Amino acid sequence: MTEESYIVHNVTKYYGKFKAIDSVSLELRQGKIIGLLGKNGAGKSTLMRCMLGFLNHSGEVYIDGNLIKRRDPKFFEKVAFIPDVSGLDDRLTVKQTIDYVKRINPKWNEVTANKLLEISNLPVNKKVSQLSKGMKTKLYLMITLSLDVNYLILDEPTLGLDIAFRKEFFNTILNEFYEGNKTIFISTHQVEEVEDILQEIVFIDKGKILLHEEVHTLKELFKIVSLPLEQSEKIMQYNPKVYTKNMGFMNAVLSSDIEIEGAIYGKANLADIFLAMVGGTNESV
Amino acid sequence: MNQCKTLLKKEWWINWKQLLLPVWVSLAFIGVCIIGLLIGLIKGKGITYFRMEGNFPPGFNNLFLFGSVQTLNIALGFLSIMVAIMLADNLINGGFKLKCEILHQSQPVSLTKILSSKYVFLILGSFIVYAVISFIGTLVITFTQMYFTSALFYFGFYAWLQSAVELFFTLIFVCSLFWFFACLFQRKSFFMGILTLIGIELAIKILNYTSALNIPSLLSYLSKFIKISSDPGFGKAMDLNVNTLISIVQANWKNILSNNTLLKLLYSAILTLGGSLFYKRRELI
Repeated sequence: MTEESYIVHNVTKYYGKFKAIDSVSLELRQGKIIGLLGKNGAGKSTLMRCMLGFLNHSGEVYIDGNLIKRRDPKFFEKVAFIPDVSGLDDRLTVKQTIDYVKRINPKWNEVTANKLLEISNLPVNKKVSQLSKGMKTKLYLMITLSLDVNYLILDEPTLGLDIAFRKEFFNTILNEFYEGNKTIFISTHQVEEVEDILQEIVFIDKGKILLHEEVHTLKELFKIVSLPLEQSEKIMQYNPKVYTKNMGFMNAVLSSDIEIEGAIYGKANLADIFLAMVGGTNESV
Repeated sequence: MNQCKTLLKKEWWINWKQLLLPVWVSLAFIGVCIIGLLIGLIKGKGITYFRMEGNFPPGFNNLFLFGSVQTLNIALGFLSIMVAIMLADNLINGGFKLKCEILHQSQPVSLTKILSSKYVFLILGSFIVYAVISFIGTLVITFTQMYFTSALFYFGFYAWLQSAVELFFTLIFVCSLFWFFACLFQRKSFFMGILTLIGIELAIKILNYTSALNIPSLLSYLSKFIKISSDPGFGKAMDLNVNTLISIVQANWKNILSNNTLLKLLYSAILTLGGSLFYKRRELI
């Protein structure tokens, strides 16, 4: 066990009889940006909530070598979290929300906060309930990224935001938070938007971790193979879980060590690789 | 300490309208009284219309002052208790209903501090609002009656003071009872709490009937602790001499600060701690 890391050891979570998380073990090393990719209902949010001590579960979670007890307040001096639904308090105004977190959280960084507030253009005197979904997400991002914590856990952080702010978030705002010693664990549907910044990726399906790998290593393990439709049996002999047929060609993601005569090869992105491993359609990722 | 202040401030921002409900009701009542007074004046009945008429024994004015202030305090006390019951549910379950509890519990502040600030806000907030309004009402009634009937300030003031002290302990007990129910039931805690009490009472009655047991009634036991204002026992007075009445008022402290008061505090502590334990076991889904 590395001293400075976030470790999930053999965590299992049941909702009634349904096993939402199945013996998950994971190590998030410090200074990494790690993506969590899974279909809807794969257990992404549940895993994150177990990691934060919000749910009862079996197994252990350690942060920097210390066992996390459920709802341990000291833990949140190291970790900040943005949930997948807007978890802001609609009863407060924007100003009150910022003021509340600023006063209650000793990790608040006023300089970062002012910088982020300037970028985000938030109407400070409005009630949170009067904000659009995108504005709410901006506010949540603003208050969370203003905290000097070592670990940032983001569950679908840009849900409801327009493409311009999503780009700004991933390219600019996240950089404000990211320093060499900080760790970001991020689950998102828009994997194409984050894959350039991710260093590691975790695939989760039916509550189980399928893979935890460095992104560049993973991309080297797979490639897109294209062949004319009349030669499709050459692809099908490798039993690809997902394949597409378009413009007279069959495309599938296969292991990079497979060589097929006459095939055209292309680079697979994370969504392609995920689907190749799990099966299903692109829409569910 | 700073965190506790911030938590109290946050509760004020969220719940001030509900907390001040007795103020709004009182203002509405005063408005109706003023309109009534104006109508009386317009009809030419003059201010003496409100003077007590008839043959009353000397000293009755003091008795009447005590009674009218006590009536005001019973009405305001009842209103304050009802508001406090609603407030207890809002403080405990409001964040869960609005799915924003995650924001509050993702801060490095202990659940004990969160719960303590909610409890202090509930009890002290409700009591201060009650005490201020009832004191103003008492002053108005007392000075009006002093002007018209030459009653003594002492009786108005002590009627208020004794009611306020008695209500304070009753408020603690009732709030703790519904605090417990609010912690136990995330939805419709008031009705679920009442149903629970009725269920227990019915079970006792059935047991007593079927097994020839003699288990005392829970509801009549609880009703001993839900007194807003006690009768000092003026009916037993041999005369309405001021000194006799004062000694009766002073003797009433024994009823107000009795063993029942200690029991109220003891049960309140048990209910508050018990409820808090249930609250701490909740998951943040």
